[in-house]
Amino acid sequence: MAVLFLALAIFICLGSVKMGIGKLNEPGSGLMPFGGGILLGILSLADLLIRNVSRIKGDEIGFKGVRWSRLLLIMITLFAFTLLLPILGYLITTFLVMLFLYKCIEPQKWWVALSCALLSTILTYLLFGVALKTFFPEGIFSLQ
Amino acid sequence: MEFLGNIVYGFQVAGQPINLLYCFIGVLIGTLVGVLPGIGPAGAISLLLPVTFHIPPVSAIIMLAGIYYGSMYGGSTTSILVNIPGEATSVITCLDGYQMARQGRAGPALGIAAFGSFIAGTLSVIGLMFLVHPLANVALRFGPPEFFALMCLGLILVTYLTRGSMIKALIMAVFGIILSFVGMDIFTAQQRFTFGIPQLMDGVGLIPLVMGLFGISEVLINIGSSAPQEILKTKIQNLFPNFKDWKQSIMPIFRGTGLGFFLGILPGAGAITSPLMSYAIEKKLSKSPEKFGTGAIEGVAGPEAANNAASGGAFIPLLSLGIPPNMMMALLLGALMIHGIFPGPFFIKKYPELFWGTVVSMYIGNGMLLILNLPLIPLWVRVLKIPYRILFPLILLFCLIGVYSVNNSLFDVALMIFFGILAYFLRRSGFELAPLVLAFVLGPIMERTFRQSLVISGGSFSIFIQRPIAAASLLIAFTLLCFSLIRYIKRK
Repeated sequence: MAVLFLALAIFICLGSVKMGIGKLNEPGSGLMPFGGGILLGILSLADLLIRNVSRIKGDEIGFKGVRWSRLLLIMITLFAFTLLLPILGYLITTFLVMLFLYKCIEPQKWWVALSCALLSTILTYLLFGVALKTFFPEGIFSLQ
Repeated sequence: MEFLGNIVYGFQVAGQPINLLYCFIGVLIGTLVGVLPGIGPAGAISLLLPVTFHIPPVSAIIMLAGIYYGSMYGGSTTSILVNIPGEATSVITCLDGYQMARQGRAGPALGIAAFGSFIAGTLSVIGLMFLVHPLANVALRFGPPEFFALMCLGLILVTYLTRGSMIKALIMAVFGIILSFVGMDIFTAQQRFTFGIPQLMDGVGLIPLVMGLFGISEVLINIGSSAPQEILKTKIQNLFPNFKDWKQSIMPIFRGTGLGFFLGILPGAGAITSPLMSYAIEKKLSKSPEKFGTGAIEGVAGPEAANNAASGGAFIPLLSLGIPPNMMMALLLGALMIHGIFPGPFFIKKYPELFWGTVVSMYIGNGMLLILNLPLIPLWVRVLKIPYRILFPLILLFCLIGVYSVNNSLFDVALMIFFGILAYFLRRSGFELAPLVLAFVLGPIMERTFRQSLVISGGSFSIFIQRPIAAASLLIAFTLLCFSLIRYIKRK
């Protein structure tokens, strides 16, 4: 991660210079981001040095034992919700996504998955769509 | 007399049926998330931030504050019955609370935790009422350099008190400040790091950010490695502690209250450190310290009082200076800013309804929590049994719809998912998220005060040294950084 932050720091510094740092008595838009970028760079370098040169054991949980397939499925499902919502509308998209989460990530019996998906879709629609008057896309079936 | 009048006014505001309802909803959700280990108060407040758009600011803040102090109550239930702290603030309660439960004394342990929390919560609200006004008057003399220096100190303190690497915490703080720069510059209206995306012109939204960081990432962390938990099969009886229990607990409760309240005011992790300190003090003062860790009721009473008092104390710097001392207060500040309200020295004069209404609602909320926590403990035990596999899709759904409902924007939803995934990798790599959120909320204020200070001084940094409060704050911050460096060299 420290390498990524170092790259971000360089990007921020370059972007800030482009924006204009200004003078100290007339600070430009890029002054604070430039300072932030420099600080981020120094700290990322320090983190890299501590971990690689002095070989002090990090305090990270690490990625050992992570069930990547489940994580990936959830991430894809979340993005799928964003893509499907304008096409299928709220009710159908939510029902399908919830059914998938209940049935495929931590598999439940069909009746549990179906009833949980149906209930959560209806209740959230009543709360957000009806009570809080959130406008949801209707989708191709004009169903909300 | 004016003070009494204000309290009566506060009761008039907080006593309105709609505010009572939101207070009840807040403490109920707070207790619930305190009980459920899968989601914390930060996650719950993040989930409910979108809902606050649709309700008046007073009701919104009353509800969100209720979640914060309510979670302090609920956290103790899991510590005592499951030996898993519902919240980081209840870690120390596990030591003696769980041992008491194993000895068949779960009732008195839960009872004293609830009564101790009630006493501490109530006293801290009274302390809050007395301290905010004088502090706000002092803050009237503060200029941009003082505010900038105080915010720097707050951020350094938060990073200093994090459990892991301070460098990583500082990286998170700087990253949070940089994220807050995205959007239009407040002075020149120039666009910064928007990449031509119109939705980013107003900056990164607080709601997509915090919902991603705490809602989505929490689910990803839990679902990636779910460990089954066992609930102690014990009969819960005698929730009202007996005379002996009270005699042993009353002084630890008062000491914990004082300690928690003053540590809560200081920037940093007051609610987390105060129970630990309270436990250490009680053990030191006890005539039989060897009983600690084997089921001493003082080891439950003191820390539980401390963490609740700290939650009351934490409101003082937020409401009087506009500086949140911890992440939860940063979220509350964000909620106020969503409604166009900026806390600070003029907050009480400009928004008396909001200030006195919220403060008095906290007093009422503490009463509600006592009622919720004693007779409803069997219900909370049942809630504990809800499997995470049923809960996690609901949390995800609330995140998705919640963030969408704010601006009807799918871009915000995608942004939240991005931050959720980023937070997952950050947490796995040992980065803590609290400094990021605090810095993100403080970032725009820090930039404004820093640039104003430079303009006032004609571009000279000496303005931060010439003013005593600013100089002292920066000196303390610098000393803390030096301490951290010395600690690291010694450890090496």
